[in-house]
Amino acid sequence: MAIGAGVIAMDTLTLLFHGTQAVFQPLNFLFLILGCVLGQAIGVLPGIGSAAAIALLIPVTLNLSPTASVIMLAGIFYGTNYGGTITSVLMNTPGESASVVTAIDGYQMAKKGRGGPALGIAAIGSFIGGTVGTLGLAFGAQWFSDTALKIGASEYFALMIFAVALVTVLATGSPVKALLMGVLGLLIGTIGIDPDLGIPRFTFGQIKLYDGINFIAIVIGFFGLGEILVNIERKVQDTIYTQVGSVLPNKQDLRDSAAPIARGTLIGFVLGIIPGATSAIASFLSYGVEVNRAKDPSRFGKGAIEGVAGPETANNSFVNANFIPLFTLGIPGTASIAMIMSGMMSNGIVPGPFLFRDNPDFVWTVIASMLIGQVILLVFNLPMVRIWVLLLKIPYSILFVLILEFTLIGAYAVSYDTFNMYVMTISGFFGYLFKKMDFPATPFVLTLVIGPLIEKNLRKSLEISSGEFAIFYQRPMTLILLLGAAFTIIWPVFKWLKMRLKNQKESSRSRNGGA
Amino acid sequence: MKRAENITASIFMVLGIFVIKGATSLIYMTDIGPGPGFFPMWLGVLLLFLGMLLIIQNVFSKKNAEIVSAEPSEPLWPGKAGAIRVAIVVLSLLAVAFFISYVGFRIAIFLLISSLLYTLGKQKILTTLSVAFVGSFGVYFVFTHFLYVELPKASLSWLSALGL
Repeated sequence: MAIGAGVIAMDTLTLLFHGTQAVFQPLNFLFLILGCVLGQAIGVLPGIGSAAAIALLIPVTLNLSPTASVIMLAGIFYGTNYGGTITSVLMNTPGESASVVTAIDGYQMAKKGRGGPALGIAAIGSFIGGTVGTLGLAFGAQWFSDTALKIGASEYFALMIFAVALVTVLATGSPVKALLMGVLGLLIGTIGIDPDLGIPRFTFGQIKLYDGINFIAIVIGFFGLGEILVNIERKVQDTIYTQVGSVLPNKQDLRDSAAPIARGTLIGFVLGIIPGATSAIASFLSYGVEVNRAKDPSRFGKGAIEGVAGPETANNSFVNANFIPLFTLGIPGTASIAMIMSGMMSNGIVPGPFLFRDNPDFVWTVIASMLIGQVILLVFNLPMVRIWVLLLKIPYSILFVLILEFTLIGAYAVSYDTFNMYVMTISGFFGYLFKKMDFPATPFVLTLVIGPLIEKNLRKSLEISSGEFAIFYQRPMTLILLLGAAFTIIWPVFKWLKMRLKNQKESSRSRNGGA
Repeated sequence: MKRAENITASIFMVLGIFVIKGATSLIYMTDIGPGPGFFPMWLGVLLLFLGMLLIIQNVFSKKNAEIVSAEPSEPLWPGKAGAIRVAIVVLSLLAVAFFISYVGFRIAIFLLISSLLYTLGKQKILTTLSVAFVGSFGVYFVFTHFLYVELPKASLSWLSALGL
């Protein structure tokens, strides 16, 4: 057993070594640097997140090799987290949701003139979390992949339903709204020619709809334009940020941060494997753990370095572990990962159990690039903080117009069709309306991307069983996953009902008491 | 908020009915398994059910919300000025989508950037024109020459003759 594990570890190291060699090929390395730089910039700049940025750049990658493309898209994804920290700490305006918690203590540190060490420890924690997350991916993914190869269509269908259930329940706000968004995504995925019988569905006689609605254009609209519309309805505020100073944490800072970084790495990694968990959950959970473990919890919220170190580490460990369900099961856990999945598919790479078997060179090069990417980000982040801050001097009134232009280019270039510009604009408007009413976008994007796979596996399962639904309860793993999905969805409803009953009892008791 | 949610839920329900109706015209089951109508049919049912559930949830939580909403909160929808800004952006993008194949990327984007920067961005005319020029002609050059992404060219003959 131990010898077997040792052999697997050696194999993994050899594959990683080969992957590393491939990363240093000029084109791959250039696009790795480009992805990291773009990710940092996008994290710093307001108004555009990693999901929209990746969607915008997918058309550009179609002229590249699949490896260089995905190296760049992945770089944008994990690079965004590094950049997002800068605005959180210096301006108290988190670039993305995962950095919200960093702003609590990070901004307080900056106000006390310790913005530099806050950014420094965030970068160090991010580096450790990201590296451990990637190593976990490298050593764990093969096992996941081998296990996933043993599952059939019904299990795969059940697994995806379970992932969708987790995403909807873990989304912020009402689970009913999240489910509605999930179903809407599935529904849009059915538009076009039916893959089995070749019959058009919901195309209204429009030939442009025969291939379905391009989901990249929809995502660009939802996340890119939708965000801009939310921002421009208010008056744009001037950028106010604190000074950076030295970025090097002192010995005491490092001592205080060591344990939070270790705990953050573990929290982020475990949550990263679960589809539907978000990096915001990972960072908030890490923050909660640090507050609970602190000897003096009252320091938190007033500039405690542990409140920056733990969440930032969790956030980056999460992001890299997120690739495990994508690479091994073909299931994206977050909107950005869903976009990387579509980037892979657009480049002819199918994520899932066969990825390691069919495209080993690709997958190990991408994993190795993520390890090297962490080093690049650390080098770019710490000494160059002041340069990134300069980006914040671009007035939003100019920036938003340029982002609008890129949303149009991204939507058009995905299939060189102006029809997608309409799709993007209309999606953006709906994205804006849904955002205003707290309908979460992630379940929508997830089901939009994996919807056709869900339908394919559902139909395949029923074809295998000659239309008998018994296949879903006679196969143990399928049954467990479906029961898990049902429990995941029903539990919040049960909790809500219980809370209502409790409220009713209390109000009737107070009425009786009053009488 | 609740009113807007109820309207949205109703729209989802109408969409659900529409999908169910559409799915009934497709084959539900074939000899080998589910047909093209099977999946949409159930999605339509789910939309209808979830839309109804959201309305029921809102009706039940109405009393609680009335108690909680004693504090003034930020209004859900923008004022007139905000709504106009949103409308200007959406309509400008739709206009670009319509005209871009006639006038080409460079002209359409130059007009989009300059008009939005001048009206919404409140930028000076020189800044507006500089950003518009770089954003249209400069971006076109970078995308077509370095990224190999072809962007729309003008189909109007006189613009096409000018190389736009």
